[in-house]
Amino acid sequence: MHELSLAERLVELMEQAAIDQSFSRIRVIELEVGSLAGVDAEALRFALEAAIAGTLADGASLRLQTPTGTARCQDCDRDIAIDTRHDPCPQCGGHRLTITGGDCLLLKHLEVE
Amino acid sequence: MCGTCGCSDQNRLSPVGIHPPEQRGQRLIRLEQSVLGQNDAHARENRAWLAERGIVALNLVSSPGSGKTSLLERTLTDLREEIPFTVIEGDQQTSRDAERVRATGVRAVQVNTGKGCHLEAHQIRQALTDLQPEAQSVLFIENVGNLVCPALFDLGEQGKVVIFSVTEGEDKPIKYPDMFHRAALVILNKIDLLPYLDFSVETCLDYLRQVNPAVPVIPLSATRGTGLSAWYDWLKDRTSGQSPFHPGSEAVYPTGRV
Repeated sequence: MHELSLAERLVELMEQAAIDQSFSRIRVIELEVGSLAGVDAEALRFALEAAIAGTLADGASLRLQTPTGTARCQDCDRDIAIDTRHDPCPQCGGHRLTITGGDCLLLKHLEVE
Repeated sequence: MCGTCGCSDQNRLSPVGIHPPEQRGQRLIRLEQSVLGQNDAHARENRAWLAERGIVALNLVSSPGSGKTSLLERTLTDLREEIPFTVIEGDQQTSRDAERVRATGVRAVQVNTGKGCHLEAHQIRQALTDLQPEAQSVLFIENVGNLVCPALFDLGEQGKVVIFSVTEGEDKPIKYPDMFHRAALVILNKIDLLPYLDFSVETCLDYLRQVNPAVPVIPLSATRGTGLSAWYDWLKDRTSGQSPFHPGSEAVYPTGRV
């Protein structure tokens, strides 16, 4: 359940942003949870809803973007989309893939007052 | 109450039900911050600190009960005259593993993660301060027994060694692909039990190749001693600097980290 510690880290990042950019309330939190990020988006939502209670983001709505994974196949040299790290290349069936995206966990935007 | 943001202003909702922030005294802050950015920064500091001293740090990860600590005890006992070692032990509770390591004559620091399911880079930094490993030594970091969470947290190690026992099932590599994908070495432990199990090494390796095609695999039995020489040779190659970690075992942290 590393989602709980990630949620706590998100609260720290938001509290720091509030100091840096002078705001006192967060109304909307937008996150990017890539499908290869190793994070369960719904577990993170559950953990974050608990972690923001009583903070400057109490009651904020959460928007989660979940981009699919992308990779470059070293065998056929194509850019491909994958859902998991053990997916083969849909073009050639190879497994020698270099992940190029969809593996990030990002705090994208906040709507604040 | 507005279902989008919890405010009481229903009249200013856009046709898609979202308040344009500029119309409500709200503003949009663009951050694009990696949630793991701080851990990654600490890990980079650890990696630089270790590299300056020529210390090879290996992050040992596995499920609970794979035989990690037994392998460590055996390795330390067999090689401590040849290689200077130190150990950081991570467990949620107790210092039992650090005591097992100290019984071999090797210095160890126990980190208790409490409710945490993994070690983080700042804990390693503190442990390094306490431990002060000598230059040109090998540091083993025995992570919390868990194949999920420790995959995400770079500690500043040179490589992750995944220990996986034949009692666990052939398909573990594809069940926990994030961890196996990041492995610099996979140790298949408890092979002395193979005659009693319905476990196909070939099938297991096929699954492993799907998530990490180039990773080296060493089958062994930590308790019987079978196959240990291959592990010791791998370790000595790392300390001599002759064999780099296999391509792909580095730079496998997310592509867009800030």
